[in-house]
Amino acid sequence: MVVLEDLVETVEEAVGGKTPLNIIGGKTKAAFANPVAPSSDDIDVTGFRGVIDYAPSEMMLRARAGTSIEEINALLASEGQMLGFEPASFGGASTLGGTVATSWAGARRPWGGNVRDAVLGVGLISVAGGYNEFGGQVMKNVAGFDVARLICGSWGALGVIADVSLRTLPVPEREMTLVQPMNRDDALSAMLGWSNKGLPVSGQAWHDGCLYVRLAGTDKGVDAASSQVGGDATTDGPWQSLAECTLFIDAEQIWRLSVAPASRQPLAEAAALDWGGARRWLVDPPFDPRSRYPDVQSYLVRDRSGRGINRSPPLSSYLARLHRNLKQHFDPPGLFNPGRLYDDL
Amino acid sequence: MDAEFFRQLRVICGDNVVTDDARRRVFESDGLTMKRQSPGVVVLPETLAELRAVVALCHEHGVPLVPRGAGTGLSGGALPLASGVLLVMSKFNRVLEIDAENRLARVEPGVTNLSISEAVRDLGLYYAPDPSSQVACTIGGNVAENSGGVHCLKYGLTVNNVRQLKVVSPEGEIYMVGSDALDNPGFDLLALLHGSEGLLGIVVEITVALLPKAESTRVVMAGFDAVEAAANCVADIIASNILPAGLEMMDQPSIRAAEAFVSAGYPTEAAALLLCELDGTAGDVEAMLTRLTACLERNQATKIEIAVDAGHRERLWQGRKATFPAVGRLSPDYYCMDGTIPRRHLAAVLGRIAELSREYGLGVANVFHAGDGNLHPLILYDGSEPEQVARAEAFGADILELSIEVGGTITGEHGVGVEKIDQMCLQFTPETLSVFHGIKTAFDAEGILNPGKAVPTLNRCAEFGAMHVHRGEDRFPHLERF
Ligand SMILES: Cc1cc2nc3c(=O)[nH]c(=O)nc-3n(C[C@H](O)[C@H](O)[C@H](O)COP(=O)(O)OP(=O)(O)OC[C@H]3O[C@@H](n4cnc5c(N)ncnc54)[C@H](O)[C@@H]3O)c2cc1C
Repeated sequence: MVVLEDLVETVEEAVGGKTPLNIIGGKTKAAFANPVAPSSDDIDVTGFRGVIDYAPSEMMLRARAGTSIEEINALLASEGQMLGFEPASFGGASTLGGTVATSWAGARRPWGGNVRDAVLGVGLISVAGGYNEFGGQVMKNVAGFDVARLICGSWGALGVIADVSLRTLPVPEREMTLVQPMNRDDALSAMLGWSNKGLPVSGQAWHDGCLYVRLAGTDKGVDAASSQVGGDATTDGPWQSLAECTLFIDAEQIWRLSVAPASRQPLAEAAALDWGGARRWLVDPPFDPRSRYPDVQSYLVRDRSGRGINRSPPLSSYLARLHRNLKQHFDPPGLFNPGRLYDDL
Repeated sequence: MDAEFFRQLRVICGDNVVTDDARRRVFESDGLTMKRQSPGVVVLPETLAELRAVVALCHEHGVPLVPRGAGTGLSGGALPLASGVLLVMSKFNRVLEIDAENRLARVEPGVTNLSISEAVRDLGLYYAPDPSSQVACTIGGNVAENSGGVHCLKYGLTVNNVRQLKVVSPEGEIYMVGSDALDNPGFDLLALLHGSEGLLGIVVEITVALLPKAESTRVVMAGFDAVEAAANCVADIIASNILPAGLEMMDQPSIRAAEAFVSAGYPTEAAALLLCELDGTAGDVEAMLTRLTACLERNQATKIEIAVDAGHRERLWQGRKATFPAVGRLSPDYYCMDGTIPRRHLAAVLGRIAELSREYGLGVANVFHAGDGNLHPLILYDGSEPEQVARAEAFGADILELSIEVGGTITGEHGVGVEKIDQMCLQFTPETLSVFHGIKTAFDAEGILNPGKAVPTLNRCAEFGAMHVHRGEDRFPHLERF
């Protein structure tokens, strides 16, 4: 069993020896980002685990970063609750800390919120100040700058996430996935139509000539909505495979593009759409998505080409400067996950 | 601010530079009227080019800037500086673009909260966060305070409903944060800017997410004989996995004040009242309503009223929304607090507030966002008597400390401003405050944006600590520790 002091000590030793650290959780998402500089020592957070506090009537769960998503999901389910952003468990290996650091949300994201929308507080070990708590355990809190949310998606560049407090949500009484054959364009229009009409949707994806719609709500609500959506009930929606990037097994490159849902760019080239149209998947595109769609955020989540393309889309020069300034404060010697997010972070 | 500075300001903004005493004094306070300071100069830029030039000029001359929206803030965030510029955003008041397909609206910061929903009403859409001040407060102020409202239990605060900001840096440079998509790379600067109280950048454009109006909405009012019963009922509703769109509670002084003011049909003999709104598809709402009424009954609600139509719904909400002005009629002034606590301490904290009210000899009315544990005790006092002002402030400070004691926070939605700056020293360690200072430096190295607000210096905390006489280590020993 790892205790907080162990983690703090490892960080202090790294600071003393100026050794970069590669922060390790369940290793389920490392392949989706740039490799950390090879000279780094590993700091394994998976041993720092366990739920610290869970109060269903407060809609709040606080757990150590190494706690598996699977354990959290099971505990919440036993009380009829869940996390709104639908974290993927990656076969049980995925940890809470890794999920928050990578901001890795699942199929429910457009309706249930992003990872940061559920984050209420974090305990962070940084070079600048050892272990500190930011945010808290209550639903609303505007005291101090919102560091708890700032670190969501930081891929470890600002410090080691030691614990996280999250807001929970009730599990819908019923959830069902409907599938129907449809072409891409019609599928996108249908998705937009239902989302914009306020149907109780918790997942919308298009893949391989089929539109998948997941409905969530009370029995009555889901029944009423399913007759509007149509199609056949299935237990085989692509929700997990998209969240875990396992849909395109043989692909050399997989790109994930984040767009406004109604966007036409890209559409015809997309191998799959999800998040109600707000996410487009490109598989081995014969072009560079970043040059073809310069206004779109294109994430390279798999790259077996060996060309060393940066996985995160580039930042504007002003944002890059703010990132460097923040890094300079949280981690002046640049020890945490160097290169993971960008070369100069 | 020398003559040359004023000359250049006039070159940039012409008549929109206010220097005469009487007109400057209009801006001497925001919603926290206890604190007043006439601004050195007031500037109301009309275009982005003007605004950037003003900011750049201030940067060059080392003159501090205080941004101001509508001035409804309750923590003194827009309190002017005697030797600084008050940058009033009211002329940036246009809705720039409505994108119904993507459910987005791009607006200028001086647009009022309510007018966004009004602009998209015909499309069947609305903007969810609805502070009670929504007719007056601006979306720029909402971003700076990360404002909430009665519907944020289900739909979140401002930070959960904004997609993109256009920001002017303290040097006058423009940058964008976020996008019209859902994912953005890097650190979540969009979240960081929310609630930053004008200390990190000046927000000049906001893209908000819009929601489709729910097919069905039901409002239920329930009266209780004891505050404790109402508090337990709130916990039971949440534990029953009902997620109301809004869940508000009022105590007897608030109920009576509101009833006398707008005749909402509230039970004036009740010790506490809950207002619960359910929304969603018709099927979902019907099913939840059945569960909700069962929950109210098993928690001994003495009166349950389910609104039958939109007019009835409106009337029930009217009382809650009018509580602040209604309480304002009871007393020359009131002081609105904003702590958030873990809900399980609700009854104990309300009990302690009642005790403090007797100790300080000042009345208090409670109205709050019960679903998320955000309390708004309204302390009644007379602002024309300095001694009462001091007592009200001391009472308020005790409530803030009580919120920290039980594991909560000094502010749920109104911000720290100048009001709660000393209590920041109690809620945060010096190390944590240093992280905040680092963030400020990362964005505004010279410290020209709204200096002296939101985050105390370590020196200030040291002075406050020396002054702050603790009445024993454990201030509230009867309360369970979090
Ligand atoms: C009767 C009443 C009821 C209220 N109810 C609620 C409620 O239910 N929920 C809630 O959350 N609040 C509530 N408030 C508080 C207040 O309305 C909110 O904090 C609101 O967001 C402030 O908006 P404003 O435009 O008045 O901002 P101001 O008061 O002018 O400014 C607030 C802060 O924002 C900064 N600022 C303003 N514009 C910008 C900009 N463009 N860029 C950068 N910084 C900027 C200012 O410097 C200041 O720090 C209430 C206030 C009153 C008087």
